[in-house]
Amino acid sequence: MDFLRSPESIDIAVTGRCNLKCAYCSHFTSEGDVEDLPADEWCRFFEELERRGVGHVCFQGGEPFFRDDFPGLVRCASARGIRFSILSNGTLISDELAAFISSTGSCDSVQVSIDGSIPTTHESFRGRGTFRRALDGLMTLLTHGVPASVRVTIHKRNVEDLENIAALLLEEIGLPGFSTNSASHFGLCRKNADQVQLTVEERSLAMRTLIKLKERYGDRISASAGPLAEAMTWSEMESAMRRGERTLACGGYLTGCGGPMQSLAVRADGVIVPCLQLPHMELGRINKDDLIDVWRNSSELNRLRRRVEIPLRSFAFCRDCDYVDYCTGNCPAAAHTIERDAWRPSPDACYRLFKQSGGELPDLPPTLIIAKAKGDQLEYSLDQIYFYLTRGCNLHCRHCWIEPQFQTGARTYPSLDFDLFVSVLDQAQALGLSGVKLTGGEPLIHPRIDNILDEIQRRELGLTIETNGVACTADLARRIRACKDASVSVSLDGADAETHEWMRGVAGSFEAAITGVRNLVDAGFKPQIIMTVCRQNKHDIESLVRLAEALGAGSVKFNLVQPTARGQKMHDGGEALSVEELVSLGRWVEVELSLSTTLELFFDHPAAFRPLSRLFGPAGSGCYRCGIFGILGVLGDGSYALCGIGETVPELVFGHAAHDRLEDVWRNSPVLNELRKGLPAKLEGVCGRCLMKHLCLGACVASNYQRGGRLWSAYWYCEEALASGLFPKTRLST
Amino acid sequence: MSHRGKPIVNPQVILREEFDDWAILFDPVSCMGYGLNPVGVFIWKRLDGRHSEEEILLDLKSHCENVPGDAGIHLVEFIDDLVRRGLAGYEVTLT
Repeated sequence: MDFLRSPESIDIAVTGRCNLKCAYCSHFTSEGDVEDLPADEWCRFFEELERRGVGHVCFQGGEPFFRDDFPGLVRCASARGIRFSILSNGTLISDELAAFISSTGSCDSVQVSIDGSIPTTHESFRGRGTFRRALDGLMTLLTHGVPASVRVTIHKRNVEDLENIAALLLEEIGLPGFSTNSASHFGLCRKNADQVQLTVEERSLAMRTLIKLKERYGDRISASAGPLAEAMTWSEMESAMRRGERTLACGGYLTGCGGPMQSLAVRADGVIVPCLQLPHMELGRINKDDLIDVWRNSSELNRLRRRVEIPLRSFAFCRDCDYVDYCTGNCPAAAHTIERDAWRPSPDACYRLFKQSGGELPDLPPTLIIAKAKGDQLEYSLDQIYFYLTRGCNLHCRHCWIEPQFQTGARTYPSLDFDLFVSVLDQAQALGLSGVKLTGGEPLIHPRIDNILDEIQRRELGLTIETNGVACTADLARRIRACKDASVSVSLDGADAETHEWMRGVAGSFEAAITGVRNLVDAGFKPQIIMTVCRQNKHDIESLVRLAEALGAGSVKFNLVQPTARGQKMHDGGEALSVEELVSLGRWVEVELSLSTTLELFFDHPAAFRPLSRLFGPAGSGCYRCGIFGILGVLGDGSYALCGIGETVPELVFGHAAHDRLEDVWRNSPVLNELRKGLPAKLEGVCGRCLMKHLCLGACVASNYQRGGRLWSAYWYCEEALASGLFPKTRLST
Repeated sequence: MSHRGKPIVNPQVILREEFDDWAILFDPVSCMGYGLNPVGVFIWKRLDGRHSEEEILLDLKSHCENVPGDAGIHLVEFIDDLVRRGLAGYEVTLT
């Protein structure tokens, strides 16, 4: 099952108490009404979060600011490097508190609840005097530069005030945006449902108004639940049905919640639960049970995760529904409160029930439909697949970051099944695929490499190959050349056999690689030569450039030894160069050596270390940017993964080509979606402070995760450079 | 080239020069950085509220070789871009 190694974020109810008693509060009179835990218990828990690499918490309540010692808790979390957000009613936020939150530098957002444009509507369920105080709280946060946001909960008394609320928040106050939901089925709201919850007519009105506002304000109005989210989702279901699509991604199963794959929650009394809306589902207790053990091994949590495998057709309620293959079964917590069973679909957001009750879905304006389609295309176009074709390799390089098995003539290891390769291409082209990269292991030893190249040529896909060159015969070189826009990189780690073979581990591999390069040149290529620089070959750099010139190469790229798999051993053994040496070498290659050759030279350290003239100038080598938003890896065993890192980091494997649809993996992998939402804004450490982060995207997310245990961990090279005082100060924001 | 007054840099924006004569303009309010090539740096240093666009162009021609004929158009576009990003503006006289 596809979930993260540790939770990305923890929702923390720091208190069950509140200074208000809103009629639609989701907490009071629920199983979550419990005694508050003392501050020292929370601080001990934050120590565990730091150890476990959990970098974000969301403080909520009750009302977090109701606790006098709340700033102490925030200070405790912040001191542990944990970023935080806060959900608040805004009424207790003083100038001093806002200044304090701002000073931590760790606050991602404070969400304030504003439910009206005037006191009458806001206070109808929140109590007298709360409107002015909430607005003051919001403005105080903004004054201190705290990233503040607003959530509007839609109910009977404000459904006709939505246009004015939008004008207040977006035009008068000038917020970048706000989100909406509606009074639901939790806590006090169940008791007061008749007074607060929208009727089907009011729900239809809210949808019409919100769609109109969305047309006017675009992405400044958002929702993940409630009338706006429902209008958008249900319109997409109708649209898919009209287009004749048999299903939507994730449709037909109980996939309506991805929370258990990404996050956990803790009640005010320290009990760990999957979500604060499922407070009865006790998984363990903080400071008593190991958080990661709960995360990975809790049978109840894993059962909740397996909810996504339950087909909607197994429920009599859904079986005959026209929309069953488009629906996701909605929120498990709502299913629990209404049906007393979280492993059922929730009738709350059921489109068929809405229609049967006389609900009317507004027509989505064409601009919104087009914007959605364009957004999908832009954000999720699968441009390129990296095929790690073989699990074995004919060399045994001491720096390899994937660590394949050494394959000789006598012993072979599995390689990607050809039929699976074809099936992946079939599915990927429908998602926008324009090219493939073949790598390994060693791609040219795949037993059906001829068929693979024919298939790529027939489909007119662009082709990139990374090879050690040893198996590159004249015939293979010609076949590769016949493919569209083909380019080939060959690894040479020294200008002579002794140095190259020290690195590559196999006698005779130098001459074989040189022959391979010559075959490529004879076929019409100007191949790229790649050298991984280390202590053993650093004096060979200039000689290698001369060799590349003599062979007819087009460029030379110098890679770093990555501290992953076998590369880690080189770092541990002092065979890799220090960051100080690499910074100096990089400067020399970019500024001096590049002037002595007509070949293009690339030194693969992060953009922050590259001269602007080389990145953007006319004589430069351009700015390489990892295509992580448009790339997916396929490993030799047929697994889908972020890239080759999936060979050593199982949580970066997203499924298998034999039994998972590529579209589902591409659109719904929690890791991929986290990256799309968070990169580069969530990058941490020096990467979060770097002015080049929009270009660099953290250099290598795979390496960062493998080293730091988080998708947002900083790149090792930059962290070490910063610690050594070598990070260019001109490239830092703070 | 139009006569639009004398451009001046936003005093909060910091010019960070690098070893190859390129530079980064850093806006501490937005925490954004913008790369400048050596000609951009040359122009930036003359956005002091005392030089008009015409004077900056003349200065550029006297300091640089092979200045293209349409450099004035590029100069105006560059300054417009800086103004649009809030990195520069024009002195105004209160009446």
